[in-house]
Amino acid sequence: MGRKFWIISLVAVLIVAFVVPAQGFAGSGDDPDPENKLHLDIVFNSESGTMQAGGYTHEELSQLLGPEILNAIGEGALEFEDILVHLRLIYGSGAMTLDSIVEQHVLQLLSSTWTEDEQDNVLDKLNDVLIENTYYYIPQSGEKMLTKWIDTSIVQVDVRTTDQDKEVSTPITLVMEAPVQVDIADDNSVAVEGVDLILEPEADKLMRETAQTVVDMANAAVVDNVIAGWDQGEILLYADGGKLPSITVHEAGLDLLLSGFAGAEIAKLIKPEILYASTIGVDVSVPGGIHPEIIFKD
Amino acid sequence: MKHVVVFFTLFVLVVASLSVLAYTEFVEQFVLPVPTLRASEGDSLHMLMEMFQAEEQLTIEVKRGMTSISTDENRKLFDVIYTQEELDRLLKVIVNLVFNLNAQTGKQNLLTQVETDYPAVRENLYLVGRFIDNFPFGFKVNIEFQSNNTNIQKGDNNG
Repeated sequence: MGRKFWIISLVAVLIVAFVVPAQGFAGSGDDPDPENKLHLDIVFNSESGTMQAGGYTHEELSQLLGPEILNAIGEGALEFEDILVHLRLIYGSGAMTLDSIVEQHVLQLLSSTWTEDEQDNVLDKLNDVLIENTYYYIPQSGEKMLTKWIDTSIVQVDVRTTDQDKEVSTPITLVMEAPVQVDIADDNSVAVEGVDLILEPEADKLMRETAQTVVDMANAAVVDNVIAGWDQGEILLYADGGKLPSITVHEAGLDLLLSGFAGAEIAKLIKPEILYASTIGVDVSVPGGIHPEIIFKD
Repeated sequence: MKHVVVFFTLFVLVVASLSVLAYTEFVEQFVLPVPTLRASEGDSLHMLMEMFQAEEQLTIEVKRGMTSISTDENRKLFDVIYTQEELDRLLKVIVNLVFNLNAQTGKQNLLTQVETDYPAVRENLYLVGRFIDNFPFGFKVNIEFQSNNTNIQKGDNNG
């Protein structure tokens, strides 16, 4: 399990997170859009020069990201040690605030709205960077999806410094109330939330082989759409929009699932407390399938 | 006399209601003992145990609306919760998957092994859901691993 795997995984998660819009209920305009919520807590220790994030220790982050990247982030952050006591960034409903928190006192440093034009500008610049440095870019349809996702998301990031060894970061929370829609086309190409995935040739080949396996399984089961969700310790399953039995996963069961699906090495790095606080799902349609209107949180 | 009749009627109604409640409570709590099944090296029961990483024992407790799975020393793994409609839907998917996939791949796996061990499963799998949902009592199935050097057969009633 190399660093490249984790970087690709991280990129994949970010692509999914930033391409996923919250799906509204078709034909019922009064229903609110489902929300996506993300909370990330980052702690820098000024004494030891270490960093923790999302419930992961410095050593675990080092395994995930690689020591060079982690050290670079840590050194950069400690440059601002004097002002970086506790900053809290909150984004929601098109508004962003940046607060400084000192001994329970909250001082608002910045408050602004983020208009659609400003979002487009940021996405264009992000695309410029991607095109210049990588194989990937966000197509126009992806930008629309991203804009919609931003509008229906609540993101909170806390960045803190401490000199206490016992101070730990709180586990990352990710709640996506609507499952991520994935479509497999006749040629086994894959679209996420209506945006075609553009991958390097080798990864594209692997993706199409995986898609073919999914299509074979769906054909064997005689279903066109499958939804699988994880909702804070409960597995939710749907076939062609019909609910299947749900499964409550106890800690021993979670160990079994993680070691079975992710392998023992990766299982060690996936923390139960993070999974038991998170909600995420995938809604896969093979050719001819229709996405039902399913939301995990009522 | 009239008061006696009213009082007696009310008394009978209360006793009858309490009896129904007590019976329902009893039925829901009662777990029917089922003989222990013996798994042998390589058979479908053993493959099932391996799937759940159970070294010595796998316990499946079925109640109306819920099935719990636990392994050695009562280590709880999963609770599967369902309605009859959800169970029917799942069984339909499983039946299709088992037999169509089997025909597609021809590879030996847990599902094909089950079909080999229990040839009637295809015709009767739908009945399992009906049975689980309509059976008034819960029941608990213990599967224990039996090493090859004993003569106890699978399904033996000595558990």
